[in-house]
This record gives sequence, structure tokens and C-alpha cells, in this order.
Amino acid sequence: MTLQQVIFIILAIAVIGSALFVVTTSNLFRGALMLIVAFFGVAGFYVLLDNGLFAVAQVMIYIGAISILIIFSVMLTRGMQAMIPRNAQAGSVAIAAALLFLILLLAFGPFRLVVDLSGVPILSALFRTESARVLGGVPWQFANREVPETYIADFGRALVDLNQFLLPFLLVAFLVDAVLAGAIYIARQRKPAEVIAEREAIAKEEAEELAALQPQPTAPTLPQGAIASTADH
Amino acid sequence: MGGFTSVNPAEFLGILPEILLVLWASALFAVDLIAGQSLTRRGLGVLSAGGLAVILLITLLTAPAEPQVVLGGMVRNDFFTTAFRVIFIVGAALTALVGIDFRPMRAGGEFFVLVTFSAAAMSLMAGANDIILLYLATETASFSLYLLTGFWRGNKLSAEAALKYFVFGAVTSTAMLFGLSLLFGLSGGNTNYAAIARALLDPALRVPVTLAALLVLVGFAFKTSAVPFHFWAPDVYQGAPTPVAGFISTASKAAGFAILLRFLFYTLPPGTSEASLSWATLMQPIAILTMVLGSLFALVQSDVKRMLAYSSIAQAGYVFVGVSALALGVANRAEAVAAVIFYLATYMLTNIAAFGALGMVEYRLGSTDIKAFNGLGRRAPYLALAMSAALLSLLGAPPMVGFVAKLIIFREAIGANLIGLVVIGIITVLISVAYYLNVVRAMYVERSEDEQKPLIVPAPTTVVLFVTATGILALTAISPPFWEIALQAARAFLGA
Amino acid sequence: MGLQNAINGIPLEWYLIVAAALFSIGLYGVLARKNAVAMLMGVELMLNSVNLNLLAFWRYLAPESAAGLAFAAFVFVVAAAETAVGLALIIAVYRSLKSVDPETLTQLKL
Repeated sequence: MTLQQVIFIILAIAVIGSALFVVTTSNLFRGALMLIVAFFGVAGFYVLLDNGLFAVAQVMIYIGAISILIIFSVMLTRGMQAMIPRNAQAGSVAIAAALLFLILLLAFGPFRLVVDLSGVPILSALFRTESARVLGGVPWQFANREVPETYIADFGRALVDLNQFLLPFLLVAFLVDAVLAGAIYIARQRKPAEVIAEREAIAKEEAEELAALQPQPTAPTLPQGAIASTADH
Repeated sequence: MGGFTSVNPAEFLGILPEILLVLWASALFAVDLIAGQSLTRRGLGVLSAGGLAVILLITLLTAPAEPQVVLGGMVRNDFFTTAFRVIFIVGAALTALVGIDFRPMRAGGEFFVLVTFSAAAMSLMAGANDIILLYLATETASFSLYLLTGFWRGNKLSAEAALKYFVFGAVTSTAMLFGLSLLFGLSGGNTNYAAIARALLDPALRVPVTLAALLVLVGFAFKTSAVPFHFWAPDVYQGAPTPVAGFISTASKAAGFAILLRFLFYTLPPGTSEASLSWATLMQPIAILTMVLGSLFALVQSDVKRMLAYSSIAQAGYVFVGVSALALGVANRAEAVAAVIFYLATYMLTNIAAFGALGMVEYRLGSTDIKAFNGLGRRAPYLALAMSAALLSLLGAPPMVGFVAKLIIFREAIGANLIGLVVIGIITVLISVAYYLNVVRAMYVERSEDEQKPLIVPAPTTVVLFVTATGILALTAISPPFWEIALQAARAFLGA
Repeated sequence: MGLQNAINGIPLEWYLIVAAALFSIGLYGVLARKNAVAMLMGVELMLNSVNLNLLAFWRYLAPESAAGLAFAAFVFVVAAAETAVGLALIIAVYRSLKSVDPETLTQLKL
């Protein structure tokens, strides 16, 4: 076993172990801290994949930005934290998730298995198997090449190249803009005066409508419950 | 590596509608900031709808005669994309107008910006020819809709519905992304639909490709609210501001069908490989479950908003009948795609009318219960008339355009030899008579003590109801040329 | 599977298995938890598994193409935007619950 393989196995244990802790702990704050460990482990995988750029990006974006946001939300919503960490379906969800992992392991893992699904009612229709099928050992089209030394420059150029990824690059730029505008609008705390002003504005618009409908000097009355749905706090 | 010299800027013309939509959204944002209080919310809403109308005109004038793949294979600009662009832009314009009148939401600048922006993202979904753009456009549209769902500030249900929509959306779109990442690997590092299709023909990849495609289907099923990924829809529609619920149930659903058709048909064309048969086989059960469960649950609702939510699930089921005809039929593929486009376009008009009228009732009476509709025929005759037209069209009653749309869908399913599916479809239509006509009955037969008090419908909503109700009737009269246009879009979709 | 296709002595399948495990754990995290922040953490784990897949495929199958890198980079951006949207919605729900009915604070179900 080579040194890299040992490092891989240590990283895998760290990542999967901390991920399991994240999804099972009842202490959300500790969960958020273990999430950082998982993110670090994934950055380690990127180093093993000869991609220093994305290892750094992983640390900066996931640990520097996303984890901070998550810890922030944990702190902010302290009172909301349910004491029961799992819902009623947790058991069946666990079985389903384990089953999904098993299927992915068999289909994309290194072991070649020959399975005959032709007798199984639903699966045979889904996989259209009149005969036995091979699971696992997917014949990947390996490149067997080194990473070019200029991969970062190539990547940067591809992002602004009209014939490559300029359109998605522009799209995510606008995505972030629009999302921030909307998120600020939704999360912004409204002052009581603002809420009252809104209600008054609605009442004024409604009064104007009534006045336009009945120009007589008699005092117009609002339809019953006209502003019932505006009940705020 | 292509340098900047090899670039033809004319390629940007292929996504001109999307560019204009994004620019218009940015312009609205700026106008809102600069004008401040001097421009009323109504003014801003009318302005945004007007701009969308201009963009619609430009989209129609620049409709591509020949399919072209632009920007490094990212977008396929063909008449199919144009047909869906029209659905999204019209849907966004109508939503902006009814949004003004849903006063408790206080639709501000951000509302119109996000509606316009999500229309741009949906147009890119319809044109996406690359899995990277597919994912990004889908997420961009979804994020805008999550936020719009939470726009009714001060309403507890709205925020909760937005969070629920967000969580289910995030998990299903990530499942889709996981499937896409596997397809990326299975095709040897390709992201383009055509290149993926070539790589996936290898029979040795059958099982992993099927699994990856199933994961991708999860994302499509969420966007189209197909069973078993439909359960978010009723809660989200109920909590969302009603104009937004109308937008999600029409434009977003149409966008879901656009990506479903484009992705499945382009990367796994039916009949070419065994893996492609897997998704084709699945369409029929999805159609049956979606129609049946949607109709049955709609039947037991006493809240009209929830009833319309389940009804829109059932409506997606009828579209899946058309998708099944495409997947399983051979002779009438173009007609099957055209039937889907025809159905989605008419359904957009119809459901926006229904949600527009419902939103007005919800705002004025503070309730969406069936009792709130009692005597509405006397309190707001025109609104009740538009609502009846919409409900009858959703039901598929002649002379509404919904009748023509259902007829075409079932005709193409019969053409593809899916007789059983059509029988089940007709049974669910018969079930739906009960819940659609129940609302009509409440409006005209039931009496209410408030009957003498008229329910005022402001001008923007009146315009929307007039346009959609006229459309529901007029499209029946001009359905043959309309069908020809849908057929032209379908041929552009199928044409290599 | 010979080692001639391994990078640094590690076969591609190892990465795919770790990614599949991370994806399944994240999925469990989203579906089995009651708390919205905990669900958000599950989604982040799932997104990490996707990036691990993408970068492993990039390294083993197409190291000279920028497609895998670009895809993974866009997933980074989407993940950040998703967290921002999630945080905004969580704050909005928290506010409305806090101000409307404190009894429901521990009853939030999704």
C-alpha cells in the first residue's frame, strides 16, 4: 500500500465519519463544526487529485463562506432548534439511503457482478433486461494523462471564452445578484412603522377605488373583511 | 483553446430574448432604486409588463427559421425554444399585472425584477443543450421562485411555504446534479447533449446510464410536480402569494417539461439504445399516477387554492400522456411534441386566469375556502365569468380551448397505441367534473348574505382576466393555425 | 482494473464510492431531520459529493478539458447562493414564528 493510498483511506474515514456525525448529532453547533472537518477532508481529496486550485477554493468558499453562514444561522435560530433531532420517518429514510448507497456501490464500484434481473417484475421492465447484466466495473474511458501545467490558465480562459463557458459564467453572475436582492428583501427586519404605513397604503388604495365607484358624498364603507388577509403580526 | 479572435458576436443573437429579459430585469431594478416613491407600485408593474410585451414582440420577430446551436453548443436556438419563450414571457407579464393587485404582498421592485429574471432563466432552460447550462438555468429559475414564494412578508404561511419549497427543491435538484455528474463521467467528460448521446450508445454502460438517468428524472419530476415528487405542491401553492402560485404552476411547470423533453430526447433518444427505453417505460406509470392522484386529492379539498394545486398536478399528468406518446410512439412523434406544447400554452393562459381570479377573492375576502365563492356571480360578474371560463377550460369542456388541448393529447396517445392510458385519462376527466363545477356552482347557485356588496376588481387584474378569458375562447376558434405553429416547433425540436 | 489507470496509486472507483457515501449520508440528513439548518447541512454534503465526482472524472478521464473544472466551479457558486437563500428563508420563518406564536417554535415541521 502506497503512502497516497493510506492518506486516501484516512481522509475517507474522516470525511464519512464527520458527515455521519453531522447528520445524527442533536447539537447543531457541533454538527456545523464537524461539517468543516468534512469540507477539509474533501479539500484533501482535491489535493490527491492534483488539483490545488480547487482545494484552495474549497477551503475558501466552503469553509470560509458557507460554513460561516451555517454557523451564523445556527446561532441566530437558537430558540427554533428542535430537541428531537430526527423526524418520525428517520428509520425508513436510513434504510432508503443505505439502499441507495448499496446500489451506487454495486453499479459504480470496482467489483463486476453478473445479475439476472429478467425474473424480477419491476426491475426487468426498468432495465429492459431480457438477459443477465453486468453490474460494476464500468469501462471508463481513462485518459492516462498528466494534468497540463497550464490547467489554471486554461480554466480561466475557458470561463470567458464565448465558445466555451462564457454564457454559464454570466448566468451565475446574474444569479448571485438576483438572489442577493431577493434574499435581502425577504430577510430584512421591518419596522412596525413600516408595517403600519403599508396597511394605511392598502386602505387608501381601497378607499380611492370605492370613491371612484360611487362618486356620491355618502361615506363609503369597506367591504366586510376587505383587509382581513393583511393581518400582520 | 479558442481565443477571442475566433468568436462571432452574432452568436449572441441566438439568445437575444434572454439577454433582453436580463437587461430589462436590471433596468427595472435601477428604475425602482432611482424613482423611489415617485413611481407607484402599479406604475412599476405596468412598466415591467409593457417591457415584457416589447420583448415578446422582438422574440417573435427574431424567431429562428433554422435550428442553430450557439455559444459553444450551450444553447439550441430553434422554434421549440421560441414557443416556450412565448409561454414564459406571457406568463411573466400576466403575473406582474396580477401581482400589482394582490395588495397584501406589496409587490415592490424586487418582485417584478425576480419575475422577469426567472422568465429569462426559464427561457435558457428551454434552450439548454448542455448539462452545465441545464443545471444552472434550472437553479436560477428555482432560486427566484423560492424567494418569490416568500414575498408575502408578514404572512406566516408564505415564509414556511418558501422554506419547504426550498428544501425539497434543493434536495431534488442536487439528486439531479448527482445524476448529471455521473453522466458527465460515463460520457468520458462531455457536457454537450449530442456528445453525451454518442457516448451513451455503448451497451456496456446500460445499467449505470439508467441509474444516472433516474436520478436526473427526480429533478424533472420535481419541476413538473409529477407523482411521487408532487407532495410539495399543495403546501407551497397554499402558502405562496397567489399570483406567484399561478406562475409556479404554469411557467415553471412548462419549463420543467421543456428540459425533460430536450434532455431525455437528445441524450437518450427513444429507440436507439436499451437505456433509452427505461425512461420511455417510466413515462406511462408517471402519467397514470399523476392524473389519478391529482384528481382524487382535488376531489376532497374544500379550499379552492388547494383544489387548484391538486388540479395542476392532474394537469401535469395529461402532459405526461403526451410525453408517453412521444416516448412510445414512432409514427407521430412530431404531433406528440406539438400536443405537449399546445397543451402547456393553453394551460398557462387558463391557470393564470384561475389563479388571478382566486387571488382577487383571497385578497378581498381573506379566504380561499369554497364558501368565499358563494354568490360571486352577483358580486363580481365579470370575475366570476372569467373564473368559470378558466375552470371549464381546465376541465376540458367545449368550447373552451382546454377541450381542444385534451382532445389533441388523447388523439396522439391513441396514435401511439396507448389506449389504456387514454381510458384512464378520460376517467380522471370525468372525476374532475365534480371539483371544477363545484366552484362554478358556488359562484352562481349558492347565495350569500354579502351579495349586495360588489367586489371591486382593479384595472390590471381586469385586463389580465379579459386577455386570458378571451384567449381561452378565441384560441378554440383559431386552433388549426395555432396547431400548425406548435407542429412547426415540434419539427424544429425533432430536426437534427 | 489494473493500476495503470490509477492516479497516485488510487483507482477512480475509490473516489466514486466516497462520493456515493457522502451523497447518501447527505440525503439522509435532509430527509430525516426536523431542523431547517440541519437540512441545509445535508444539502451541502450532497453538493460536496457531486464536486468530488466531477473532479475525479476530470482527473481520470479528461484532465486536458476545462469542462469538469468549470462544472465544479459553477456548483461552488450555486452552493453559496443556495446557502444565502436558505439563510434568508430560515430567518423569515424564524421571525414570523417568533412574533406570531412562540408555542410553535419547537413544532416546526417540514
